[in-house]
Amino acid sequence: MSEQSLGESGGPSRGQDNDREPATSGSATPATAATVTSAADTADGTLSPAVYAFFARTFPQRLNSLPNDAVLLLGAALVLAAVDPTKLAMRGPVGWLFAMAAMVAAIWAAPVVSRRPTAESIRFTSQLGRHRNTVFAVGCTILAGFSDPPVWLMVIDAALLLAYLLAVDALAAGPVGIRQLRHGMAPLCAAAAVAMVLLAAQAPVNSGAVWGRIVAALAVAAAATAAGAALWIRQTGKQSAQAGSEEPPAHSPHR
Amino acid sequence: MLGRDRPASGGDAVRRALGGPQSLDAPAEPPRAPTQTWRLTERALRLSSVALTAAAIALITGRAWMLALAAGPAVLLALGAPRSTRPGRVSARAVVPVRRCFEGEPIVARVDLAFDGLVGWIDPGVAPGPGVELAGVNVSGPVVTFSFIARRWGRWSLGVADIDLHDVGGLGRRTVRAELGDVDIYPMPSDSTLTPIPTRLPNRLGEHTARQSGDGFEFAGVRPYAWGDRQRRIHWPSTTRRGEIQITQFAAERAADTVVLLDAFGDVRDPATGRSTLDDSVRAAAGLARAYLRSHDRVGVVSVGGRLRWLQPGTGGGYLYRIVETVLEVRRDLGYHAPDIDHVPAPALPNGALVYAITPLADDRILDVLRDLAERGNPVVVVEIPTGDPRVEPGDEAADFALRLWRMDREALRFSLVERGIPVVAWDGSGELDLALAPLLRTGVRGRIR
Repeated sequence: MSEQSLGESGGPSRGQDNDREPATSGSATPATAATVTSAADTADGTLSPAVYAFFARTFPQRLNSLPNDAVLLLGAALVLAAVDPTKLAMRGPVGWLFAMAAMVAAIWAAPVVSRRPTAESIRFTSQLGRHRNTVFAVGCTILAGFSDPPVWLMVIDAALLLAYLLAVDALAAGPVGIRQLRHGMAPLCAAAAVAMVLLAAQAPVNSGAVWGRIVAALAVAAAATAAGAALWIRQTGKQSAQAGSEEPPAHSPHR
Repeated sequence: MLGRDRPASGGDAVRRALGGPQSLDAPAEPPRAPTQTWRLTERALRLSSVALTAAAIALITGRAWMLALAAGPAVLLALGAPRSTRPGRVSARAVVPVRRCFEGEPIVARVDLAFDGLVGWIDPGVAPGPGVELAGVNVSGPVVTFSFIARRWGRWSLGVADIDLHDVGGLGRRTVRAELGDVDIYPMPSDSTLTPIPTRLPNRLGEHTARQSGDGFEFAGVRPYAWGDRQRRIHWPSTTRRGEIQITQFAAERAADTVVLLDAFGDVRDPATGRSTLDDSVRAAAGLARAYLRSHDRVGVVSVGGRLRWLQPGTGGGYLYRIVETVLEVRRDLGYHAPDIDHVPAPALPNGALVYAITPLADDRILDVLRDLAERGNPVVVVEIPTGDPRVEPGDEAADFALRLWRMDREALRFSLVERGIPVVAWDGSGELDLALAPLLRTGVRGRIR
């Protein structure tokens, strides 16, 4: 819980232009020098000054840990959804005990681990602590997979898991996580894929009706289209990046 | 996420680069060299684990909706898949403009990265050497700058920097290592201005008032007039009182030869304060050398430990650096060998030179060295660096008695030295050295009369 957020660790390079194309070029190819990204493109600057001032006024003591607190709450909600609260009453004391244990585990494992990924030890406990965010997400997936939730809870499970992964990326994966949130394309694509698969999963293909198979075929076609669109977006982005790297930047990115 | 107007917090960057809280007792060995290949980041591991787990559960249990849990991370992985912009050749070059400094001064190390593609994130890490403390990390384009503070004198390794280069998609990372090289950290000399002198000074012009009469400025007495004396030296009050011409005598002004003897037989850490006796010994030696060099005396150094080092006395402002460099690697001399002071050449330990033995008096071998010096006729002063009392558990009566015995043994040791004509002064490394040396100003330091 006390882990620092990655954005806070990027102090030395803060102040750079956060909206430019993020990439760092090495000094070996100065002719293709593009723009520079470092830890400055991390968590800083994603909130407007007014929102930041509101938080600073309201929670002055918790200001630096607010992102981690938010991820913790997200993780707790994910665990709660994964254990299927609609059936807790039927499971009895064992079910409640299990849910409480899962919640305690979430308090330990859900907060973002933003330390540098250095292998300090090969001991299991050390590795578990280092990868506890991954273990937490996988554990929630397993919990949700072996329950049989109603449809609305499936939607919540999928949404919370995706939100948790995006939030952890934003706080621990450096500029990439911040960038994907800021640009919005990756979360939108992921959410669309989740929604599409959920819809397809609810298609009554086994009921014997013809329209169910049609819906499933449409879903498969839509998934293929989405994958193609994603690749096309990446290809166009790659071409534009290459075109941009052939021209020197209009202004020096090193400030 | 909230940090737009937040002041830069260098502490977080330092903590991240170090991988945890900082410790001055860092291991001397650098961490294992990282692999030179691209490998998965934590993000890639997380997304792929969730996607594969969800897909596997969907296949095993037949729950199609579980594929929805796999779809989100799978799309994120697909969007971040490595492009052709990932660097193939990566190298790092460390530049440390200044590799010599005093304790407490900053050291800046710059690592210039060179690679042939694009990276999305440069994540620096560093394993500092044992004598320095990381104060700041700055990433500016392909240049990473580490700011250190020199904490302990010595010839230390500055450490190694392991810098992670993440690809643009954030799914792969490659670590490049840069050796930051060695630095020379000079001890901060203790505050010392007093320069006690032996009773007999060598016949060389200097600033210390000798007992012999000469051409100095210090009044030494009067004597009857002799043929050839200058008229301006007539002491008129004595002449009128005695009825015959009296001539003023002045004291000679001589320079002293001083040798600092450093006890490197061991390094004892004070249980209460954690101070190192060897650290304080070298600081005291540097302070003494600086004080005598400012008086234009000749100062030399002899270090006795597992290895014998010496530098014959010399003078001049720059000689302090030669003295310090002689003992800069003295930490590596700790050993069981007992050196013979007779192996020190005569120019390094001139006859009649004042010897300051700076020692914690924790090893019996230094007593043999002191005895040999006294037998040579050199005036010797022992500057004791206290080791601190051993820690005793409260309520342990036997330990209390042992502590009393230990203290009495120390007192007996000091008494035996004083009886042998070797004054003992104590300096704990925190105050001014002048306070410890002041009693030596009452009379000159006497050596053994042969």
